[in-house]
Amino acid sequence: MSDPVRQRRLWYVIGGVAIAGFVAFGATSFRKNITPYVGFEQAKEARATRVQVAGELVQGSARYVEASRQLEFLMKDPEGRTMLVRYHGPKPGNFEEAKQVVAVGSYGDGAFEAGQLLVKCPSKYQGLETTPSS
Amino acid sequence: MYYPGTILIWGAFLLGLASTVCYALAIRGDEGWRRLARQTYVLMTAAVVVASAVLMYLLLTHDYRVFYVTAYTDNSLPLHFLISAFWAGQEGSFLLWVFWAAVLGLPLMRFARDYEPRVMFFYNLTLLSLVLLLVKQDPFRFHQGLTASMVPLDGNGLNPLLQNPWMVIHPPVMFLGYACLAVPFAFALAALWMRRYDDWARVSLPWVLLSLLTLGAAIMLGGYWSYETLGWGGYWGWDPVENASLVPWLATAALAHGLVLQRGKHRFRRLNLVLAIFSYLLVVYATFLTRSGVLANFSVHSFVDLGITGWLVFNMAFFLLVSVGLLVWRWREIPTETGDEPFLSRTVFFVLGVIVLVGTGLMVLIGTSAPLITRLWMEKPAQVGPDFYNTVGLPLAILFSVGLGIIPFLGWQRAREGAGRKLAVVIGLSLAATGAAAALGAHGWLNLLYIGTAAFSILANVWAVIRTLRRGRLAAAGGYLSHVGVGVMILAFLVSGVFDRSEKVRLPEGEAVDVMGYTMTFKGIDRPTPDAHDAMVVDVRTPSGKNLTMRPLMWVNEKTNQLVANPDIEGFFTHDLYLAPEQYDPGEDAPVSGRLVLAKGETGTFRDWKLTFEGFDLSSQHAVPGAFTVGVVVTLERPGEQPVRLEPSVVSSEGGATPVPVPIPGTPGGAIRIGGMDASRGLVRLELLGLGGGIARDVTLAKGESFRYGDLTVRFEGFEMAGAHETGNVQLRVPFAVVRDGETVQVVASVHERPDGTTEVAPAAIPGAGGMTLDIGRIDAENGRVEVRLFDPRLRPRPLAPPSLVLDVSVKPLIGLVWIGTILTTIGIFMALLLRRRDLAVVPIPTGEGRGTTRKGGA
Repeated sequence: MSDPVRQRRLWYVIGGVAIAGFVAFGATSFRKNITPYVGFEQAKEARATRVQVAGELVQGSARYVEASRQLEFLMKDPEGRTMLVRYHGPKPGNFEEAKQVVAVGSYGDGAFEAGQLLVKCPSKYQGLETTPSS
Repeated sequence: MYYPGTILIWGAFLLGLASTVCYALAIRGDEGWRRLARQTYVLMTAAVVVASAVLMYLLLTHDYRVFYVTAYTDNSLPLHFLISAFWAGQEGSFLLWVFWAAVLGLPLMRFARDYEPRVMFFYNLTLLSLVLLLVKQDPFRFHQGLTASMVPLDGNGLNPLLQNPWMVIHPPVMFLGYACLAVPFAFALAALWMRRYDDWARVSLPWVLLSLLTLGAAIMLGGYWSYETLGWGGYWGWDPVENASLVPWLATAALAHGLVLQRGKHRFRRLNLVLAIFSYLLVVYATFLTRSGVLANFSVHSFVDLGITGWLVFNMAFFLLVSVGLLVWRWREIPTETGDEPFLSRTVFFVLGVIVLVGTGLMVLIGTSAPLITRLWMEKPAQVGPDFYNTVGLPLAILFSVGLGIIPFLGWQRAREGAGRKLAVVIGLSLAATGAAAALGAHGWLNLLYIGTAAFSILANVWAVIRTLRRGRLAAAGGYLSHVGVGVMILAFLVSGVFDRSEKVRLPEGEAVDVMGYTMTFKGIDRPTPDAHDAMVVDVRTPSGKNLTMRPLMWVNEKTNQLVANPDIEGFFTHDLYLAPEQYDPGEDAPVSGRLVLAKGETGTFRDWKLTFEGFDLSSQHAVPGAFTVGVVVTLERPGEQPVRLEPSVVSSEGGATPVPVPIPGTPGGAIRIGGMDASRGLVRLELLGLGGGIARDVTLAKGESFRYGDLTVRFEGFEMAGAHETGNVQLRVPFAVVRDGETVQVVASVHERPDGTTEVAPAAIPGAGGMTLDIGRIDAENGRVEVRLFDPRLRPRPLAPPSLVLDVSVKPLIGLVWIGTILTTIGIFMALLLRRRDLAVVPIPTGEGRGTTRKGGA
């Protein structure tokens, strides 16, 4: 056959290229957005790279800092080391109750600047979270 | 274990097994088995229903022998939350899922007709896989090693964040959606087995639409709860648990459209079989992800390894093998045809839509599984952040909107008549809308393109709805209406996320502060009833002049003894105003201006005032329920004014004694408060607050040392240990000799350590000095030194810091459209469902094909 078949083949090729292009785009974005879990020490060394750190919230350490308009708090790892974390998003409603907090961001200037905070609530099954993105 | 419940679960399992076996035998050829299969299925459903009723009964009657009841309820939970505790934990939620699945099987059994044995065989298998979980993790188990005397009197209660009407309905709707997806799955496998690839598609469509409806609604309900309750200002976090329910929904949406396509064109059979199978497999995978603990470190939801990982993996593997095996076996036999529609036809765009939906689903799936995937080449598993989904999702959404917008102009074979003109109009309107958006502050060419295409899809589908309604075909408008809803949601996703503005602000009480155009005043804390949570009352004046009051909450969760905050949201037409309380600072107490120690009938002076302690008043001792109130009657005489009777009081309850000050009339901020009482000796210490004064001297003295202030000389006489204070702790006496005009008076301050380790200082009032007091600061007992502060009420006071509230204020444009879009989509799907309900009954297989029924005309 002629035109319809060739036209169809053309569309397949275009579609294939488009899909391949999109997959490449997706893969790049994937790599760019991977945030590995690291310990406090590694986070401090990693500096500008975006990483995740998990730790326990040090009770009573959360406070609002007027000057920088940020939430500041201390995180404690299983070995007992602490790290200062700063976060400028809205404070999650159950922050104080959190058994464990995961901060996503990078270390800089004496504290871990978190762009995203995940708060694990003590309940066994359900939980909740906070992130500043949509 | 609670035998009735456990026996019912075991019974359900065995009956389900029996039903499966009977159906298998019926497939082999002996139709007689079918009746027994049906009976056992019905009995199994009955067992499940009764077991659910039993669990509900145990919850409502607070039977704390059962572990599940203790874990999720307590005596104070109101009825609707007791009901929702049913699905608060793993076992209960699985039971809920089984309940829906079993009940749904009843009409399925009836409508499947000649497909019944095979469909029910597979359907039973899916059911059994869940019931087996309940057998393994019994919801009715008692506490470990329970004896009669150890039954708890009260439970642990429901997580307060789950005590919310949205969280009450979210799980039942979600599990209904999951349960529905087993139906097309079973049908697809039956179709493959029977080599009949067309009927199943028509029959499954209503079930698929029902699943789309319920699953979609459940997902958005979860989002709304998150927005309204959690205080982080968003409704979707790309958390693995959220994504795990989104991916099957996208697959279901693709399947729904694929089925419509197959119905219309009698093609795409393979596609639909694959979609139907994978929609269900994705549900199983989602269950695995969320309940196995593999994503424990990457999600804020469930983490505890709930003990069923092995079973979940087996489940996945089993259904994957069976379904893909059947698919591969029959693949070549499935009739396929290639069509010859031009590009601009509904068929092609349907396929494109399916591709985009599947692509989006894959993207989310891969992102969610990142921790598992990255384990392969990275030493530490990693997760992808939300930016991945937003970045990759944006072009997909644009593509999707374009497709959604063009479809109303296309017919199955070709573009509709006059489409070009109408298309031009709609495109023109979309451009106008984009321009308007840019004028209102939208920026970024990609964002504007996104907004434009979303507007395009909305406008085109609105036109299609109107067109369809004009022709009187109500139900057929459902599809277009749901597309309007989807377009609205797509628009809202970007606008409310990207153009959201937020700011943190401190509001001192009573002061109006301007925040992003809104004038806000923190009015204080309000607790309308003793049970209510403390509300931070904020008066807001909008830029357009409207006045309203918002009340975000901050309260202490008794179970965890921690502070919890809830936001308040005011929805306007074009945006939401979102207030999330961050911190409350109580401000400083009015400082004590002077102290007087008086015996009954004695008069003391404070500046030129005279205060007389008249006596104790026990007449309103029960004024506060559960506490004991003692009043102290004081007469205040001021020169040039009438004498006033004031009665400050002390309220003693289990938690301690709280003094209740009374304001002094005629003085702003002035109050009188009881600082201490000794009823046996008839003495009170009165504190005058807020009347000015400051610390005149702050000196550290050793024994024998002194300082001068005015006409006073204060000498420290050395520490004395006193006998045990009434609480049993040692009291340290700090005596001073105060010399004035040659007369020496001894005044004694004291320090004692409270049981909890804090120290309490009782300052000494200098008699006849107009309210001057000596307060104790740091004590150096070893070297015998003490820091003493002389407070003089005549000094000017420092300015006070009032209580203040730190709020996170955000303005979220067009976020209401997310919920409006959801409602429109839901209504649209429901209308489409109504349209297809007649498809529920399968056309019987004609005679001559070996099934023994006559063919009825029509489809």
